[in-house]
This record gives sequence, C-alpha cells and structure tokens, in this order.
Amino acid sequence: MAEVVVKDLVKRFGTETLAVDNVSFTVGEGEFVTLLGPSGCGKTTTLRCIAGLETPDEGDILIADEVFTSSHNGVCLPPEKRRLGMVFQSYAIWPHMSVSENVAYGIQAQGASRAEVNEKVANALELVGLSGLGERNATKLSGGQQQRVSLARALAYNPRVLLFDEPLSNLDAKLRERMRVELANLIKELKLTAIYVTHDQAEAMVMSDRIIVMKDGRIQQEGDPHSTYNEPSNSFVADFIGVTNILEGKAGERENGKGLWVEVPSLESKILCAKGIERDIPAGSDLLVTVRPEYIELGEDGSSDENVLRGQVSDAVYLGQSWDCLVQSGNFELRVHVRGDADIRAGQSVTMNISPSRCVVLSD
Amino acid sequence: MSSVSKSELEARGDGASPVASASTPGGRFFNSENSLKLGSLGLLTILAILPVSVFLYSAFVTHPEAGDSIFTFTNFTKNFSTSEVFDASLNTLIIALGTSIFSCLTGVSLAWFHARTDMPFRRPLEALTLIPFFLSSFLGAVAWWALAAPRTGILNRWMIDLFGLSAPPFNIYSMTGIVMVMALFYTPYMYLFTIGSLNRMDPALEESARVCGTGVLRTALRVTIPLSTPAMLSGAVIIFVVSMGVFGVPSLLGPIARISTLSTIIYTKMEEYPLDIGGAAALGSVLMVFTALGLYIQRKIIAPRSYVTVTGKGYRPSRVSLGPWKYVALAINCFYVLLAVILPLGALLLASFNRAWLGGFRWSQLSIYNWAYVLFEYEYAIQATKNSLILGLVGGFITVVLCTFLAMVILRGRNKRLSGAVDYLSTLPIGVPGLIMGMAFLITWIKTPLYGFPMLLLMMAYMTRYLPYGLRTISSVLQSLSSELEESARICGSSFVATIKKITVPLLRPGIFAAYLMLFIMFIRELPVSVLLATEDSAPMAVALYILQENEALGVVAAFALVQTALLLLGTIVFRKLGSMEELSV
Ligand SMILES: Nc1ncnc2c1ncn2[C@@H]1O[C@H](COP(=O)(O)OP(=O)(O)OP(=O)(O)O)[C@@H](O)[C@H]1O
Ligand SMILES: [Mg+2]
Repeated sequence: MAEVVVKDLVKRFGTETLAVDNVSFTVGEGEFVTLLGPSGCGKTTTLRCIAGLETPDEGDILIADEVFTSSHNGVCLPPEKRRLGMVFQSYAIWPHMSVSENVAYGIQAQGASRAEVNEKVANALELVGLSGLGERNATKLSGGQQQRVSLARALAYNPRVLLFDEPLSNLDAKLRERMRVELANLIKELKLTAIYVTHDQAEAMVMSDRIIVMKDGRIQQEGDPHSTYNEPSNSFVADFIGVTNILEGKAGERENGKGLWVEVPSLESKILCAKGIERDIPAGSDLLVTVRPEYIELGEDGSSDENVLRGQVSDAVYLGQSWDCLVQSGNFELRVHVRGDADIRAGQSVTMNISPSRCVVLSD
Repeated sequence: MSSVSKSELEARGDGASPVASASTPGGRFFNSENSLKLGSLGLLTILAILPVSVFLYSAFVTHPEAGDSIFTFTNFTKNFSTSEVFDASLNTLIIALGTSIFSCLTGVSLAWFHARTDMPFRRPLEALTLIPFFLSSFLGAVAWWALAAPRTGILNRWMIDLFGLSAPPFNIYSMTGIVMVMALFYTPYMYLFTIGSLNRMDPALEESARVCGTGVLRTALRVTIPLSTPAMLSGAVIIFVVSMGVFGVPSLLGPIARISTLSTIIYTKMEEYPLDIGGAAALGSVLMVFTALGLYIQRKIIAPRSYVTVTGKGYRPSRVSLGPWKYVALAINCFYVLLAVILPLGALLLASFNRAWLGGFRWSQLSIYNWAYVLFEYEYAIQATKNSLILGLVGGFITVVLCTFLAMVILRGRNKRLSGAVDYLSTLPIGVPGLIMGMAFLITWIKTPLYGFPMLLLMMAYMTRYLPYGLRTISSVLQSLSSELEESARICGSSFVATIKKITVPLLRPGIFAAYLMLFIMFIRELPVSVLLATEDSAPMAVALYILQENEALGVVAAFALVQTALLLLGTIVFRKLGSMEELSV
C-alpha cells in the first residue's frame, strides 16, 4: 500500500530559483527508487517536499492514497504526521543522547510502552549490526557506525517509506562500496519502500530498482538501471551515466525491421541505429547518436556488413582488465574499450564493428 | 522491522482523514509560525520602538504651557548654538577617538603576542589581561580616582614621598585621565575582537612571507595585521561608538576639570532644575544618530570585508619566535596588567581596610569598619546589592529566555521575511546608548502605573538594551547546530514543540548558560540605563556607587566597589568554567 505519488511538483526559492520544476513520479510498494542527478538539480528539495520539510508551491504528494500535500486545497501535513523515516547526509545524530536514546526517540514519539521501546530498539540495532553499542555516546562512534545509528533510528518505528539523502557520501570509498550492497539488501529483506537521493551513478546502478535522472529540477529519464544505461534518452543522461561517444549526424532512410540509417559526417560514414527510433524522425533532420565505448568491437575486415569503421589507435591506456583507447576515425576520436588481453599499440590500424542495437538515437 | 503488517499500515493510512489532520504551514498567513513571529514583532515594538519613538518625538516638541505641545526645532537650534554644547561635543569626540585609538594599539599588540608569538606566561597572563572586561570602566574610574587624584591619590603621595616632588605628578581629573581609564578598560574588548581572526589565521600565510625573506616584525606589519584589519576596524568603530555614549567615567572624572560630554549634559538636563527634556532629547538624538551611523558603517562596510583565512584541514598553529624581544612583549603585557588590574584593585583594597583615608595606607588605621558598614549596616548599600542581584539573576533569566525564543524565531521556520524583521528589530537597541535608553523608558512610562514598579521598569529597560548581546551569543550556537538535527526529530514523529523541548533546548544549553552569565555580569555592573531610571529604593549597585562616591569617604566607596567586583569576578569564574564545559561537549 505504500505507494508514493508525486504529481506536478513545483518548488521555488525566492523568485529566481526554480529548484523543482514540474516533477511527477510514483514509487510502488517495496520499490527502491533513486533520484540521480548532478549537484543542484533539485533532488534534495524533492525529497524534503516528500518529507514535509519544505512546502511545495504546486503539486500533490500522496502516500497510500493519503494526501500529504496538495496545492489545490492547501493541505500540507507537518513532517511528524507522515510517519516516514529519513537518513540525512550529515547523519543528524543527536549529540546529547546515547545510541539507544537516539534510536528510541521515534518509537517513544508514537507513545509506545517502555518494554516495546526496548524491544524495538534492540531489534533495530541488531538489524544494522550495532548490538551492544546502545549505551555509547552516539557522537563518539566512527563515521560508518554513526551512519548505521541513523539508519536504525529511521527504521525503528516502522516508517511507511524510507527517505535517504546521500547517506553514504561521507564514508570513505571502500566502506561506501560495502555499505551500498548491505543497505540495499537490508531494505529488500525488510520489503521497505525507499526513495534514495544520490549524485553517484555507480551507487544508483547498484542499489536501485528504478532510477530517475534529474537535471535543473526536471526529470530527464526514468527506468531500471539496465535501460537507463543502455538506452539513454538524451545526451545529458548518456553523458552523466557512464562514458560514451556522442556523434552528430543527419537522419537517412529507415530500413524495415533493422533500424534507421544516420549519416555521420565526422566519421565519413553511415551507421545503422536500432534504438531510440520509435518516434517520428523526418529524413534529413539533425540528430545525435550515442555509442558506449565497450560496445565497439575490434574485428576483422568483412566480418559484418553494417557499421564497419576503420581507424588508427591514437592513444591507449592499459587499465588491467581493459584497454581505454582513442581511435581516430575520419575527423572523430572514438573512445573504445577493449578487453585487457588484447594487444593494442598506439599507431596501429584497426577495424571496428558496432552492433546496430547498441547505437542509440537521442531525443535532443 | 517487518513486524508491522500491511493491513496495519493500511489502517493507519485510511484512518487519518487527510484534511482533518492537516495543518497548513505554507497555506494561510496566520499559521502558528507566523503568529509567533508577529507576536515577537509586537513585543519588540513595545519594548524598543515605543520608547525610542517617544524619545525622538520629545526632541521635536516644546511645552510653552502645560498640556500644549508644539512641533519645533528650537530644542536643536537653542542647544547646539551654545558654546557649552559645542565644547561637550568636541570633548565627546576626543574621548571617543582617543579611547578607540589607544585601546586599539594595546589591544591589538596584546592579541598578537598571545595568538602568534612565543611570549612566555601566556596562559596566566591572558586571564589577567581579560579581567577588566568583566569589570566596568566606571569601576576603573573610581579606582583611578583613588590612585591619582591630585591631593589624595596614592600614587601621587608615593611619588611626592619618594622623590620629594613639590607638586603631585598625576592628575586624573583631566582629559588625559579620562582617556587613559577608558582605553585601559576597553583594551580587552579590542583584544577579543582581534584574537579570533589571529587564532584562525593559517600560519602558512605568514610562513610564506618569512620564506620570501621578510623578518618577524615586517611579516606582522605587512601580512598578519593587514589580514586582520577588518576585524580590528570593526572593533575600533564599535569602541568609538560605545565610548561616545559612555557616562560613568566622564561624569566622575570630568567635573573638576570642567570637562563635560554630551552624556553628562544630558544627565544634568534631566536631573537638575530647570528640567529640560526637549533639550536632553535633542542632544541624545544627535548622539543616537552618530551611534547608529557608526554601527551601520561597521556592519555594512567593514564586517563584510573580513578575509576568510581559515584553510580548514588540520593545520598546526605555529608561533613566531621573538627571540629576546619576547621579554619586551612580556614587559608590555605586565605593565598593562599593572595599570588595569593590580593598581586599581590594590588601591581599592588598601583604601577599604583603612577607616580614614588620607592618601596612604596606615597600619594604625587598619579596620574592617568599611566592609562591615557596606555589608551589614548601610541600608542604602545593602538594598542596592539586593537590587542588583535581583536584576542580574531574575532579569538576566527573563532576558535569556526571551533571547532563546527570539533566536529560534529568527533562525528557524520558513517565513524568512518576518524572520528578517524580527532580527532587525532586536538588533536596533545596539544603536541606542544606555543613558538614552534609560531616558526613553523614563519619559515613556513615567505617567503610567508601570512607573510604580521601578524594578520592573529597570528590568524591561535592561532587557531591551542588552537583548542584542544575549541574542548574538545564543544565535551563534543555534546557527552552528544543523537544522537537520531538528528535522530528523520531526520526521520521527515528534511535534514542533516537543522537538524544541527535547532536541533544540538541550543542545543549546551551553549557549544559554553562557548568555545568562554574560547578561548577569552586564546587569550587575550596569550604570547608564539605570542612572536616570532608578529611584532611591530601586537603585542598583552602580548607581549606588555613583551616589556614594559623592557623599561618602573613600574607604566606604572602595569597600562597596569591591563587593561589586567580587560579584563580577564570581560570575566570571562560573562563566569561564561553563565556557570550558561547553568546549568539551561540542
Ligand atoms: N533553502 C534554500 N533557499 C534557497 N535556495 C535553495 C534552498 N535549498 C535549495 N536551494 C536551491 O535549489 C536548487 C536545488 O537544490 P537541491 O538542494 O535540491 O539540490 P541537490 O540536487 O540536492 O544538490 P546536491 O547534490 O548538491 O545536494 C539549488 O539551486 C539550490 O541552490
Ligand atoms: Mg542534496
């Protein structure tokens, strides 16, 4: 029942800043949805509107059919009436309370009995792996442990939805990678609904069921990690998530069942694109095509009849598991990733094959 | 965790009727947050705006016949054309300028010695150097009067006896005397204004200058001092403005040399026949305009220019090695402590233990009479001590509660425009010199029943005048508390009020204590607001000291001054103790 509905959300700060610009999305029960985007794109603001910490200027927010915020009748439930859980980037651990007092706070606020409070606190601490640390002063813990306290605090009172605002960004790289998996597993295990904010695309890919990419207060793309990575809808998404080549071209003719031919002057060639062509694209119009470096294969001449390019390796960096190469083809330098066991030298002439299903026409 | 069932969630979801349980923080204008803010605006209007308006109004009216009031500029034209007022204005400027220049020189050098050099004995000396901050310049004037009055001053007596001089070498009844006492007692302010920016300065800035081949002194003059210039200028302007309005020192040391200032003239016009409220208000409003102007310059022009010299990550504060010069620095600091602490307190102590004082301590005259007298017999002094304690403890408490409330109203919540208005109104009293605040309260409330409760009126006036100081202490702590600490409590399900009680106030406690003790100290030594407003029964200690000094033997005055000092130092010790506790807990 914990279905979050955000409809036409608009939030302005002052007259100039439009922090959130007409954002709509839903989150199903037990789903883990990530808001991903560069700094200042309005992720935190969206999350705070859901939490009730900001009052949106326009739009509705409903959870489980209960109206939290609605601009039509001026409803705006205060945060304490929403029964959500939130984990802040700064952890926001109360320094004047012990670990268990921190965790107990939300349960006490619901008027639970002492025995119930103790039980739930112990439960929550065990879930996050902090059993036995309850009496410690919360601020004397390590960063990772504080992180867990703040998670336990948010979990402890059975919130309808968990909200996370970049909870892992203060941890060091190693710990962060471990916590990603641990956190995502815990949330799945508890069948909790979560909205997670981050600007780290790797984090979003690993953890989420669905990713919502934002820029300048607007949603750019919505989808599971696989489709977001493989079929970016525009050049911002293609570029923001992972590494990619973006080619300028002109639409040519459609080939039935196979795709759309695109004339790419910089490559002095034509390539056949099979993705992103559902919309109506008039022949001769300018467009952008994206190809991920790892989908460009080095091969023999004549191994395929479409999308064969020739070029010369201008630079190759060995990364162990792979080579990161720049290949000059026509007037364009293509980024190409080749498996690590290949033998690549700068100056070498190569032939490249790209499957049409890996060539995505962007919407801008 | 997963113990909560789906149906339970559903029940909760449907059970609460959305509209009924909803409040509207952003919806209507008269929600609870805005009502609190409007309430604060109303309160501040009564406390601050009303008296100051009545005061300004009275500068522009005359009462040729009882009941009549005419709008006029005569109060200004008549007064500012007299040579008396001209001289007083000039004196006011000289005192203010002299005080800020000299306290700036000593304060900045001392701060540099302590923050950036390897001067020995820094720790004990810092405590001694700051003692005058907790006393008052008026107390200093009383002590220096005992030290350097031409005929009865201890120092003069010693010099005459020691060197066989024919005339006393020092005369505290002079412009030099006034400026010296003021500068001595405002030096710690300057010290405190600059030490922060010197402490926070990244030593790499100085070290790179040293590497470039400049010496210690040149580096200090070319790099260190210029980098803290905005902080110093701010301090100098504030001291200039404050000393323009100072009443105690010139009123004690000025009359014999016929040195009057705007504040002493205002006092005379209000206390002596013929009463001239219009004239006093006219002079006062000019003083107020200059004060406000100075503070405006400080806030809007100087303060925003402070350099951010903090580089953040773990630097190791390193000190400049002064070589043999460190003993010169030590000598300068010790000389300051001698003039500002040891001599004044020593003189008071000696005088308080002699029954009759003829300019020197005599064992034959040793007696505790003065102490017994002010502590147990002298009704007026005992009453004044009680009054001051009530004002300091109760008044300080009420003020600190108000400050905490206002700090939250200003820093928390969503309506930034109303917050700004509250902030603005609560800082305004800084621009009103104490004497004028007292006069404004007097003429506003004298014909109302409130005047029947002089202690209450005094408390209100103190509260208004010193509100900005308490507020600043508490806001700076509140500002350093991330609002996420409160927000996460709200999300956990605790209401606005419960969050304040359980999260905000406990976290603010160190700041609240610090502010309370600071206000206690300010209230115990308060003279300018009280001097016009207090009645005989409600006179606080400083006013009593002022009266005693006119009517009693020096021994009695000294003993009473030391009682006040003892209260102030006691407050200071507690203050410092709590200060170090605060460091521990943050
Ligand atoms: N309280 C505020 N007052 C004014 N402007 C604000 C406020 N909060 C956010 N903004 C502005 O709204 C925009 C979106 O901010 P938001 O904090 O939502 O970004 P974000 O996506 O969370 O970025 P980050 O990844 O840096 O946290 C920014 O331009 C920001 O400057
Ligand atoms: Mg953010």
